[in-house]
Amino acid sequence: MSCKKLLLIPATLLWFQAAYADESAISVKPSASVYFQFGQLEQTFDPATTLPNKTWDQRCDARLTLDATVQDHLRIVAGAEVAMVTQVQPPRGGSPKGTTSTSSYAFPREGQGIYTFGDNLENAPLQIALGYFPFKYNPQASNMGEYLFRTGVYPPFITNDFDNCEARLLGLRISSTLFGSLHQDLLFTSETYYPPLGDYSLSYLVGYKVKKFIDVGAGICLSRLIPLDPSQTTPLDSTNIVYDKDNKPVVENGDTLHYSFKGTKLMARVSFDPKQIIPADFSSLLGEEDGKLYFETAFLGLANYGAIFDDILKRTPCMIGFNIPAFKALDVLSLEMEYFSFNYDKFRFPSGQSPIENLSQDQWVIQNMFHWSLFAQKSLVKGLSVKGLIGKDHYRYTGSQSPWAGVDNPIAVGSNGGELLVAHGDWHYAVRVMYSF
Amino acid sequence: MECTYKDKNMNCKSLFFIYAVAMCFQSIHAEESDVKVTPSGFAYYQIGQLVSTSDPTGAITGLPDKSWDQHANFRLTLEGIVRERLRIIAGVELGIATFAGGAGAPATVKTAFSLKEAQGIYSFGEDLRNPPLQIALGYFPFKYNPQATNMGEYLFSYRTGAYAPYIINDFDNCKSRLLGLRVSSTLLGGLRQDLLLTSEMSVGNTTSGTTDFGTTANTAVGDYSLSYLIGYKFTNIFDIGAGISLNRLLSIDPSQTNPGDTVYNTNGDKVPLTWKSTRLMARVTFDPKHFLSEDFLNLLGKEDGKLYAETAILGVKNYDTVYNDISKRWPIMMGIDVPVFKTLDFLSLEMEYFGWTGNLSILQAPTPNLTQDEYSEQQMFRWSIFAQKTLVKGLCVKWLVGKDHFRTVDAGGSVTNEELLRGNGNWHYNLRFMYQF
Repeated sequence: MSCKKLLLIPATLLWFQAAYADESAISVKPSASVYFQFGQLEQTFDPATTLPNKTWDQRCDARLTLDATVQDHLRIVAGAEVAMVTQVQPPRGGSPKGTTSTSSYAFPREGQGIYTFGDNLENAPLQIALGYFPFKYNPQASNMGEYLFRTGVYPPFITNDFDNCEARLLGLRISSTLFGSLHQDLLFTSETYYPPLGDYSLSYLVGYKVKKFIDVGAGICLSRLIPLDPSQTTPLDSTNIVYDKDNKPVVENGDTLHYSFKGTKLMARVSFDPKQIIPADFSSLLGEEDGKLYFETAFLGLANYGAIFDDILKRTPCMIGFNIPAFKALDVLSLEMEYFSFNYDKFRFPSGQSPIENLSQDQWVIQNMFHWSLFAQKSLVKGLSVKGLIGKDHYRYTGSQSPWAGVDNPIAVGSNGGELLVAHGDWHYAVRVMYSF
Repeated sequence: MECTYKDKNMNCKSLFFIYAVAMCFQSIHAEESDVKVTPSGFAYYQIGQLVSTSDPTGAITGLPDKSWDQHANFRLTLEGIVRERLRIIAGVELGIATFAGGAGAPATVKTAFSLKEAQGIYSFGEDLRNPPLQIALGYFPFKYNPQATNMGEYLFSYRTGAYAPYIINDFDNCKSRLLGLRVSSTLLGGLRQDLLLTSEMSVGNTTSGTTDFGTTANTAVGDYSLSYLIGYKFTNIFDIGAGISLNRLLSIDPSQTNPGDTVYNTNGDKVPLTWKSTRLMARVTFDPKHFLSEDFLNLLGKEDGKLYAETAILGVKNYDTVYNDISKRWPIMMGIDVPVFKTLDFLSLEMEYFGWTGNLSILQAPTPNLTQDEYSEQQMFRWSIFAQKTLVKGLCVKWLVGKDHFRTVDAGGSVTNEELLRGNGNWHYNLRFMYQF
């Protein structure tokens, strides 16, 4: 369809809306946020071939969102984002000069329709959403965690993104809130970030809040339950054969077993707010988030495969977090630590060729099992906040090779998709000043 | 910084999104709280022609004489005011351009989606229109010479270079776009001061070619510059201003800011060439209408008869044997708003003298291209005539003709490094129809 014809559609809609819109039935709320961010990769394990130490990263970003509510029950949300990124790399490898890259990205942030049933629209007994939407099930996690959707199965990998501790999913969500505290989500989503793309996954999550004291949750994800192209989800070539510890091909039901990107993930989480059991005189000195303890773990693939994915405990990331009391000086100051002991090279993000491509064991494997981060946020005035992060997390090079290229997706496939903070002394920091309305 | 242009097919969806958003503004209800949201935007169609250039066959730029240039751009801006003092502004723009292919090649249509503004502004004091203190952070337009319509605005490297010198003019965009922090103050109603800490952004086509040193070029993007400007309005008669910019005062990567080129000064010392520079600027505007009788005054438009001038030194330091004459880095612009007796909004004639005789390309290294050619003397004098007429509220026509520092966007979507109007008889024109809301 030509652009000229496309213009006719909104022009017609404009006319209809002007002529027939019932102003009381439709309410449109625009919102936006802008941020300026800078950060530095202070130390990385392989400055010679990935990004050099002291690489400077600077971004300016604008997000525009329209939220339309139609007769109370139907919400339509559309959001887009534009970002400018500058990266300055100091010289390395004997080169007298460093390099600079600048790029701009525009990408969709959100595009969904949400229909809510029932009278209680905030805690609806049933809500159906369809489209591209943010999804966060662990409200406490500030940087790590959220393993059910921000990870791979075979091979297992984890992604982190500063001030973006959530997943973005494409598909269908059916949610329910009962008794005000029991929340369930059923999701049928299509893979948009990690190759092979398009495969459909089915997930179910449940969460229960006991007042403000304890919040527990669990979930299961049948990742790539319905592959769009089975030959890509489970490549049947000779490089993808499952071998046992004796280096013999594994045969099941008469067929040689091949590795597959499909897998089942399980997740469990709990958060505990001890302020509920301390005297009010003291708890009134604390901020809303102060003192919370939280924990999340997951199994990234229940089934063991051959000699590579042979130990489920090594595919089990465990994250523990604590909101250090800041006594209202900060909105939140959260320290998170993670242990993940997959003992193969998980630096490189798979390109989708095979679940075992680029897997190797090297000197960094042991050091890469431990990660940590410290996240802080402070609201200065309404609409203006400052956020900061320091840590050794699963920071990856921001690439531009994925379908949703840009800062929203820190993943780049192939050789550029590697983690950069894997050795003991590696760390980075980032600071963001954000305005939103 | 502009996005590189992409094929049109990929961005028909972006175009539709922009129109859908504009459609929704028909029924926006202001949020009933302390946040006031104001959408705005514009759409324009522009056509122009390079009538006679210093590259008549297009051998250098790919744009021969008589090349056509068409643009259609759409901008959407959301401004949120939070409790009166905090303004948050986010603006994005979609552009569609047709480029003459040159040398018999077919024309191409390219689109670009870019970030135009992303800032937060906090105002202190009672008078929010002329606040005694205002702080802005983000990516923002900045114009210090309200009279300049096409030339001038020399202080920032968005429009000028020092080592090596260049000047950029862009039709109906006589301002800079800066990334960083601005602290401004308006005192006594007429004294305005601005202190800016800004991050250098890429200029020109930074992805092509190699330097004389065999490395891929760059323009030391990311370095921070500190600038101070002061301006004083004496009723409506005089408006004077001055400024200083310590360009690239804080270097992110010194190896890029000081690329290592060495020259010898007259003392025989080796002096490393650098992107760093100190620039000075001075401007004045005089409105003689204040001395006219009221009867005659009523016949004139608001801008009629104004005289203005601006000058700058693009790098106060001489590097002998290379940049050895400060007068050659000293552009002088003079302008007059020709009285049009309200038939037009304004008609401004501007002339400029800039004595640099070397090549005015936007180089990727401070080493100047001192090649002399037939245009070296002819390029010193520039002129332009800019006119604007508002037809009805929101709809205006703008027109420019002249021999200025015009640089077009090439087929790849980047600003061309080479100037096109250096010869005596060279000129171009542009005509823009614009609708604003």
